[in-house]
Amino acid sequence: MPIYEVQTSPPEGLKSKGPCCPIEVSLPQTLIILLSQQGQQTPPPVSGQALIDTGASVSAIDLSVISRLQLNPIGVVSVGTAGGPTRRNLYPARFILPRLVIDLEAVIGADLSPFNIIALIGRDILSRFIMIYNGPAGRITLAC
Amino acid sequence: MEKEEVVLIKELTFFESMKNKWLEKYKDKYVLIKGEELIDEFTSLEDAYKEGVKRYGNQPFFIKKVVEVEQTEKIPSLILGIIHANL
Repeated sequence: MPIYEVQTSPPEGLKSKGPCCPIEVSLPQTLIILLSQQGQQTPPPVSGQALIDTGASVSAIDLSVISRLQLNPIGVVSVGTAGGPTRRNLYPARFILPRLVIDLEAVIGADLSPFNIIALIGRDILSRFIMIYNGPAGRITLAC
Repeated sequence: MEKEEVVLIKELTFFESMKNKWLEKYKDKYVLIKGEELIDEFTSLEDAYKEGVKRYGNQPFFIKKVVEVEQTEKIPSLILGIIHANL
């Protein structure tokens, strides 16, 4: 059953821009509940565009989002780079797409600002869904 | 990829010093570490995170799966800088 569709207009835009979709990134629900119970304010979600990247084994958020949400790392992971593996921080985050909310305990921080996106949706998320890339129609569909 | 500072160095060093020992007891489990103290082990990352938040709130803490060979994550588009490349 389709739970999320992104229609690119004109359809050719899907080829040039890639499978982008609007997204809000917020603190994960576990943390929101705790801070609310403590009477602390939670930073508002950060809105922007996300790119679905089937080449990425893990999802990522822009470093500015980490700063605005005041996220603290909860782990370290090895990430492959041109110069060999390097250590990167892991952060918890909540991805909010229309009709779809995904809590993630571990996304990496990366400088995504040159690409005008705030998040990369990688295979850690896509592994939960069926994704249909309809190139001629310029449409991406996520289904359970 | 722009480099950011890795902040959980103490916890990572502690984990690596204990890893061989923990592989015998906690293989494929997630360990929750603060400083140089093992707080507990969990069967899921989600459970480890919930316990970390319960104990430390929005402060840094360290969760790691105990495995022999750590998986290296890959994001080729960022490494190569080819997001939105057009021919």
